[in-house]
Amino acid sequence: MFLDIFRFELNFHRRQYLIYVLCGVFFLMFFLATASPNVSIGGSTGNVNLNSPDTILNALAAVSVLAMFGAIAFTANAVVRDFELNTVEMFFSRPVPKFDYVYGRFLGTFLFGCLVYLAGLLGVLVGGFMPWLDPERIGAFSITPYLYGTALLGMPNLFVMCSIFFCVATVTRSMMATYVSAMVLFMLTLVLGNFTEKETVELTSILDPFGTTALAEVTRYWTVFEKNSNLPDIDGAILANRLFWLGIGVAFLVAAYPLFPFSLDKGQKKSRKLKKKNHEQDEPAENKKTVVVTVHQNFDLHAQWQQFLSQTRLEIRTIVRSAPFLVLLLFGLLQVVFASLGDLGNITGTSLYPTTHSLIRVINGTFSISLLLVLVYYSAELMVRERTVKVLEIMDAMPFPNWVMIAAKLTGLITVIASMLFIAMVAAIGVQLWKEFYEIDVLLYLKGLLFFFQIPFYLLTVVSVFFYVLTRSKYITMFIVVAYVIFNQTLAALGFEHQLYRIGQLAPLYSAFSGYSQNLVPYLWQTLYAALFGGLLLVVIHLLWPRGAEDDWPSRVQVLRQRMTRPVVASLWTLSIGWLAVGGFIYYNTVVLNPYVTRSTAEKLQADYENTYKQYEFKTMPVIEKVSADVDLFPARQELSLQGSYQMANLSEQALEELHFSLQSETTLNKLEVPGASLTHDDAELGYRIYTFDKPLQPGERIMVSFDVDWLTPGFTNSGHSRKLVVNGTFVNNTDFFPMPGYQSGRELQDNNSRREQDLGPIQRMSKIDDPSAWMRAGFAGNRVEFETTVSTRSDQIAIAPGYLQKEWTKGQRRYFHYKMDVPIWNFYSFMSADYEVKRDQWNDVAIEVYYHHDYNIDTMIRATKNSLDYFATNFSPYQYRQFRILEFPRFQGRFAQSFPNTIPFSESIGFTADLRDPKEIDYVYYVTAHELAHQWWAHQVLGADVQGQTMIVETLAQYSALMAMEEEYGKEQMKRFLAFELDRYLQGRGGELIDEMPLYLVENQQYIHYNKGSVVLYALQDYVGKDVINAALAEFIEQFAFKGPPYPTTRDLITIIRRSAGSEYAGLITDMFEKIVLYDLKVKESTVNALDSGSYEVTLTVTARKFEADGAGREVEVPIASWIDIGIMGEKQGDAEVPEVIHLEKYELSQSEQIFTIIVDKKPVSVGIDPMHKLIDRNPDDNVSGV
Amino acid sequence: MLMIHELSKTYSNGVRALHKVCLEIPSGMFGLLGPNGAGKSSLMRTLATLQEPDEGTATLDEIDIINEKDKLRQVLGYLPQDFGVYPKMTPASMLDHFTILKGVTNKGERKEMVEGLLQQTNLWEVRNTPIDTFSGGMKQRFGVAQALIGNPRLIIVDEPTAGLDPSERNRFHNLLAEIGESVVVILSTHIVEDVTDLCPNMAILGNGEILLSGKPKDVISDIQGNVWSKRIDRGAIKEYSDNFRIILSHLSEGETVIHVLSDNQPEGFEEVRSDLEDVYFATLVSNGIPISL
Repeated sequence: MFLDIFRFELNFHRRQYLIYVLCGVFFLMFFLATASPNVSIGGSTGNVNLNSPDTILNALAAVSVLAMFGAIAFTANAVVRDFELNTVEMFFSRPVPKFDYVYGRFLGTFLFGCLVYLAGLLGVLVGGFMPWLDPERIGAFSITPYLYGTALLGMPNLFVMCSIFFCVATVTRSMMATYVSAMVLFMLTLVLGNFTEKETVELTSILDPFGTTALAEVTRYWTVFEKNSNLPDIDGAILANRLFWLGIGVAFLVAAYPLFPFSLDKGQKKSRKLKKKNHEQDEPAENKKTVVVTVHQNFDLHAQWQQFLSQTRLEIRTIVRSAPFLVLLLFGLLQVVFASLGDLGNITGTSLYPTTHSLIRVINGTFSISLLLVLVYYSAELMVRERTVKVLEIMDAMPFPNWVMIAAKLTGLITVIASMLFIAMVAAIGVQLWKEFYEIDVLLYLKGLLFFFQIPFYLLTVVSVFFYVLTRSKYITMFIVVAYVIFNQTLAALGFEHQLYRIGQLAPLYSAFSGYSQNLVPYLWQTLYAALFGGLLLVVIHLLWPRGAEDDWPSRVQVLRQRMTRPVVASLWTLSIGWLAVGGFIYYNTVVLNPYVTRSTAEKLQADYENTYKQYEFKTMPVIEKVSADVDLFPARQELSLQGSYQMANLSEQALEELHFSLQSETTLNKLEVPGASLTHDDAELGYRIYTFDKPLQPGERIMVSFDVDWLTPGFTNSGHSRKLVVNGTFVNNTDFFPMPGYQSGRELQDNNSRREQDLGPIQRMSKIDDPSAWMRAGFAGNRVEFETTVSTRSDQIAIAPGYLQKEWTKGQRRYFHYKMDVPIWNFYSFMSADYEVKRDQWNDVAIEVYYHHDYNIDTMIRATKNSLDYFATNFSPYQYRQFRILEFPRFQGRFAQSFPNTIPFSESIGFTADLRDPKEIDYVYYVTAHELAHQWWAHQVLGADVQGQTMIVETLAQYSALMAMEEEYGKEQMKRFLAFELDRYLQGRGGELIDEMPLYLVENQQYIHYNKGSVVLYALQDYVGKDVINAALAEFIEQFAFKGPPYPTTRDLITIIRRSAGSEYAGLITDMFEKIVLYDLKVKESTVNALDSGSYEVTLTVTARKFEADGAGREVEVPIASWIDIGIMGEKQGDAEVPEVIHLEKYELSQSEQIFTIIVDKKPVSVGIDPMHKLIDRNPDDNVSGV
Repeated sequence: MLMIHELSKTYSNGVRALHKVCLEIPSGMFGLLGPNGAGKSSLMRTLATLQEPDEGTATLDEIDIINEKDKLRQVLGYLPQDFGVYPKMTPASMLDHFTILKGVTNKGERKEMVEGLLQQTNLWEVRNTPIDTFSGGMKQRFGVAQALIGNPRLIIVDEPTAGLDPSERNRFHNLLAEIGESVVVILSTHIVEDVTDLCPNMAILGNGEILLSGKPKDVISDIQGNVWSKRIDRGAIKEYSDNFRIILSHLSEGETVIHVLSDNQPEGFEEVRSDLEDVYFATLVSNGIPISL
């Protein structure tokens, strides 16, 4: 009998087309995702193979998550079907054992779920064989990962989901409830996705029903090599997660048995019948007398308005009372609350202030899915509501005009969505209050959420209704709207980027400096354009609005003719003309006034530039010695003009024939005069000019090149205004608009995929460290120049450039600032202008100035500046300027701080709005300030040659300096937490490597190495050899190379000095740290403690210590260990300290992979550890410490 | 007065629903009889502005129903054949909403109207109970209540008694009978008793055409003397149907009684005192519309 039921189930589904459609869709979807180089579902990035085990596992997990939607259709269907088709009686009258019936059904549906999954798996498998895929990223084929992923993720996920849905469907007998339970599972993973920090992921990984979080947790530190070749062991987080969820699956499956209603008497139908009976009895036997009521009917506008209001209330009520809405709202809110309680975009775990705008961004990011689902589902659902509940004919015969119903449905839905946003806002305000942040800007919320929200939902609603009246099908409408949303998102990737058909692509950018002003004008035009189009759609909707039973096109046309009244025709014409006119105006602005540049044409231009002019990259040319520039900023117009001159000299040994310039595409070059030379090549499209000297420029000879450049913004462009020139908060670099001498390698396409599309070879990140010709070039910006500028701006703003203010004056409505630097600086400088507040302070004879908009952290910045100046000047060399300035810039220009001579632009979205009220949090404002200040030494005093390792000199040393300055202020404890972050980022960064992981001294501008590994390594080094030794070595390095011309130093020079200063006993350590990629696996195996009579304690601990060397791809080889490593013994926590007291911490030599130590301490030990402070690079630092 | 002139409708799938239907319907209750698929609902929907005829006209006094839908809807009360309501709504709130849609903007009047209708249809006690828990009869009474909102001049009631038990149907008839004489009420049904009980005027629709119209007593007297009955064996019905035009068969005390149509008294048959049921089935049979026996 079991088999019969099972077979029946199979046969039933086999006859349903759904299974074939689903299998087809799954195969195609995952085939395309695997075989298309631009789409990634497995998260295969960088150098990880497209068919690596890691990619396959992630892809299969994705298949199983999506197969959920297939599974639900089968499982829910199996249970609900009998009741819906009224075949229950037929089935239950037969002598079927309940067990067979229930589990036969379950097994049948589960198998069909598996079939859909297998179709997806096949798509992944076949997709990996497509010949157009980059052969370099296809590894040897192996079936193992597919089987492994299916056994570990695919099948268990399907089983768990089928069980849960089966049980829910059984209990509720409602498709809706079953879909809601699927939504809950799906939302659960989304919510868990908010947690990415190592410590929380360890906790949350067990809760993820699909096991992907656990998988990510286990492979968190995997290198490219490991991702390409290894499969995770089934233990730890993965095992726990799988067992946990399989247990839940079994529990649900078992629970389904007693809950399955195996006869008709059970369940809700009975109670309903009873209720009906009761009503019947309440009814009095006698009819009441006829009550004659005379009423006045009227059908004027006032009456229609009342009809509209009443119908709108009804629509809203039906939405807000339904389960899917409540579930979506709840989970949307959960997302918002979780995300806004989180760090809001931090750097080291310290959160930003929950400013109104940052919470608007949270809502924008996390709430959209809920909103979109509500919109898509209910816009279609409301259309068919009357038909579904069979009130359609009554309603349609009611005397209200069409617009009442159309407007009521649209208004109802938009009101619901707006209320959802409003509720999200209230939740966000709750978070603000909870975080004791009281600068709540309700008006900004309303603007940001209702007007500048990323989805123009008011338009999407109209589009949805339009498609409904066209197709008259709820499901087709939902499908089209989802397709439309996806289409709108992916159009750009396909090369269709024009805003005339991409709705909502250009949202205004927000900054506290200027509100939503950036790109507001094009946004408003676009909104008007979209609104007129929406209006047009509304008229068409009115014409086609289904009223009554007529449903064939002839009847629709007949009705449409009746509805084509004069006002309708007039509004059609008006809206069309308005729409076309606004569209024409947008076209004029974006295509005629400004060039319409798509991503691919822009990349083509970059590639052409590289192909045509890279030959001149290292051509010897005159160099700039002196820059003088008058820059006039016009913030209101978002324009600037530049009159400047370069004093250039032939510093080479030979006579030079040519001088080349690269020009910026956004600028208009009015004049570029090279005396004694004529323009022999002028490539306006790519912005490249070659001037040939009439008489070759002799060594030592000088010329004055003068130029006149405008950066104009006529009208608006398709992609919006430059983010650099803004109404308030301009921040431009000379590389943005100055004519730059020679070929600019910075313009090359950086992404290797884009390079492949343009037939360019892989990018060469850095010259080799042993290339002597490259030693003659400094790391960036060529050589040092004398710098002088006059910047003018609007009278209410302050304009700033590097240098000391010589003079300030006002003329008319404009304010002029004359800056001059008295020592040569690198040819790289910024110009900023905003309506600033200024705070001034003093350190010795150095003036400290902070130009700010937010005043939360300026005192911290000033304190960090003073302390760092103190530390660096004492330990390295004197500060070379008499002034130090920090300037806040708008958030949309980037999340960074940058160090120009005596001038540090610092983003609004990092330091200026960081929430440092909790003293336990890492003070990264202090750290960033110290880091940028350190660049005044590491970059502006000494800059490495333009070869591998150059960023170690600039960035790693700045990290080290900042760490030292921070340790002075905050002590070792905060360092430990900071370094734990750095280690985590480094180890994660290895897995995303695009080419090869380099050892630190050969770093090729790889951030996870020069920042994150650099911090860990240098901190450990100073811990081993002493910070005085390192500081002295750095001072010597400066002494030897600061302010010198070529040849510039390399990391070899630096390491030589460090090696010499540290002494020979650290030679091996230094080699490991800088010249190799070394990882440790340190672990306390066991430990015992004996209380001695003397009151002391004898601790015996066995530790294992292994050491590995990795190559660039992450392939590891174990090497013998011979290292001095910390052994620590920790006691109780003292007072309110976060961490236990360190009783004993000393370095011991480890020369075997397992060693035993006996240590006697005075205080009671609680835990022991090897490298307990995590100074060495260990992928599993958690087992370094263990209790005794 | 409702005037229907040569109304025709053929659906896109080729089904001819209405063919040159002409009717003049005076005030008062008008019964429209017809078997399933006769075109009753098509006619009702057309009159209720929910469907476009291919040709023909229909006017209610001065209102052109086909082209002045908005005007007609203002004076229309419509109870469709099978209807539901918004979920979780109570009669009171639903009627209030319908009353607004019917243009009753004065709040006091609206309250009075809703309460009056609830009393009249005997739903007062359950006014705050969700409609989706109602029994069939209660739901139909609610349907009448909504059709009576405002001051309707045309009330269309489509198959209202299908599925009601006798006491519910009786209650429902009483309710319909109270509707004033001054408005046109069209009662579409396939149950002859409904018409017999309620309607001073009637018509029979079959295959989309009007087969017969008039006052019940007139059409009954027309057929008087042409209908004969006989008790027969159940098994013999086939034999009889070959030789006679059987219009009706029913069971009486366990035996089958058939009615046949004939100008003269056939042998072994008794004369029947005809009623509307005989008229109805005789009309169908005469027009070649199959009936089930």
